[in-house]
Amino acid sequence: MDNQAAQPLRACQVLQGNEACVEGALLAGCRFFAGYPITPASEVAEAMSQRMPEAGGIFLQMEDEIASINSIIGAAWGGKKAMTATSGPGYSLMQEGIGYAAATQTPCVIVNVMRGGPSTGQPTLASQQDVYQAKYGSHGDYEPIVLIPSSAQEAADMTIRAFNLAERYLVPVSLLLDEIVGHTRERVTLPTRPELINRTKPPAGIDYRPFEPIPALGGVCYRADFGEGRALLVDGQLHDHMGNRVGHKPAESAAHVRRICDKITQNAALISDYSLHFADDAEIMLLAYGSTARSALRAVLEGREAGMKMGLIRLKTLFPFPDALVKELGDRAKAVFVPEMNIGKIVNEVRRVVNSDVFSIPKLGGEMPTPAEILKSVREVRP
Amino acid sequence: MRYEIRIAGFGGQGVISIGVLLARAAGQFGGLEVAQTQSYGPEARGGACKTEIILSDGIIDYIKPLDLDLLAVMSQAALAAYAGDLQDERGLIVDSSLVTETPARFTNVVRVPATEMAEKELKQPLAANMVMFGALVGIAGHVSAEACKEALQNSFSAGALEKNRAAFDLGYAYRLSGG
Repeated sequence: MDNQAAQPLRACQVLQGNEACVEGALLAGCRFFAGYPITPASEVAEAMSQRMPEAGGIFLQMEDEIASINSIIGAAWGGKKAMTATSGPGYSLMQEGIGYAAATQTPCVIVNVMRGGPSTGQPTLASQQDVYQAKYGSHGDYEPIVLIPSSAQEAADMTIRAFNLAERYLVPVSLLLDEIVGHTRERVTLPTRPELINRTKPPAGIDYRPFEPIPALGGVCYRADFGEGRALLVDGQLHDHMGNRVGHKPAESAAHVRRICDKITQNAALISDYSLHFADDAEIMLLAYGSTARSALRAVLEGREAGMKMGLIRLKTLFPFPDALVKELGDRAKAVFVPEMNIGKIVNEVRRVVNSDVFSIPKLGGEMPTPAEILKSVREVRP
Repeated sequence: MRYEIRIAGFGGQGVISIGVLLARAAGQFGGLEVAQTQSYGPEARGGACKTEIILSDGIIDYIKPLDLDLLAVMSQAALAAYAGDLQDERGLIVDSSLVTETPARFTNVVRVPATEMAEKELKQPLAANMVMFGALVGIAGHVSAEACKEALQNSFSAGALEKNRAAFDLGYAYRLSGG
């Protein structure tokens, strides 16, 4: 029964983003899901509880989110592609485990369907308030990969990519949906045979050092799983190539942190993804992501109809942030506007790299900004 | 083509189900792009609730209504809550068993006694939403009755399918007969 092919329900379906995420995970080869239901992410667990056994995988409802993240880390070391899904409060609880996954170079996928926060916040409404938590939520230095879909189709496609990136770079990958993307039903065409990447096994006969960066893999390690006959020592304390603790040794500790960060930052160009809309001649550039990007695209179209040279950079990965692209296109524009469903966060990344004027269009309260609201904010600055 | 529909009523009537079925009919069987959203959470249980469906023959950018084409309501409270942004000449369908007063500004009102038809003609008061679904599809166009029936078949067990299909037919025919 193990690892049998997940049969897609139908080539073209109408699915919620949360459901599309589940279908994407199964197509990516995910065969272990552990989670604790929470609004607005519950449909992920609900669909997993039905679909995972059909695919010969394991579904576990855990006692809480701490257990959930730790069990997927264990499953990943047991050789599975593993995923959990949650929303804000659960994502906070998972942060320690995410740091552990980063330190131990464990491939896993964490889905956060964003509600409004802080704390219990707004269980039933949307936000994009967790974008920095996804980058900085756990303590210490590490470089996570953060993907952010704008539609149900992308929820499926990007879940597949999240697993591919996790396996390629041996890193926890966060997939940030928001309540709107998670719950909107849209047409989704599932790939029949998506291209899949699997962790690279150590070649036979080599002197295997589990945490040694391999230049040919872009600084990523070979990965043997438990049960394959290799000696594995997995520890959250900083360690050397064999997994032995070096937390008391400054140079070797620094080298460990460098290794887990460099494998992401040095491959950032391969990881970053985005789409450009009317960007070539844009004087007024919007930068948006998630459901807000749908409003932003409409605002660009309406602005163009009114004679404004507007364009859109839509981010599909938030981190690593595409510094060079945003700088080039942002500097070419007269001004960059960043609508987002938070108090103004990713706008700071834009300000960090762009010399043109950068303006925040923050929206709080749980609803996405309308195209009219975005255009109004633009016109207040650039009539 | 971009066509925007809102369906509203009180929680429990099955208005969200109409939205989901319409989305499946249009997207899975009707060849259209579709985005279906709904009021979600505590307010959807018992109080006024709504679902919104955008139909398009091209990519849908903004997934919420910008300029509503059609509103269907199954309660007086839902009409009061969700008709504010409907322009005067746009389509308004009411379940006239439950919605007795419509604001005078609306010039294109279709009255369908959906709840009464479900009770009296089908002995299935719970099927009022499917009567409304049929009437709505007849009025809105863009999605064929055949596509809707495929969606029904895809969504209900054999036992429940017949009742729901009969209710859909009743609503669809009521509209075609000029009711």
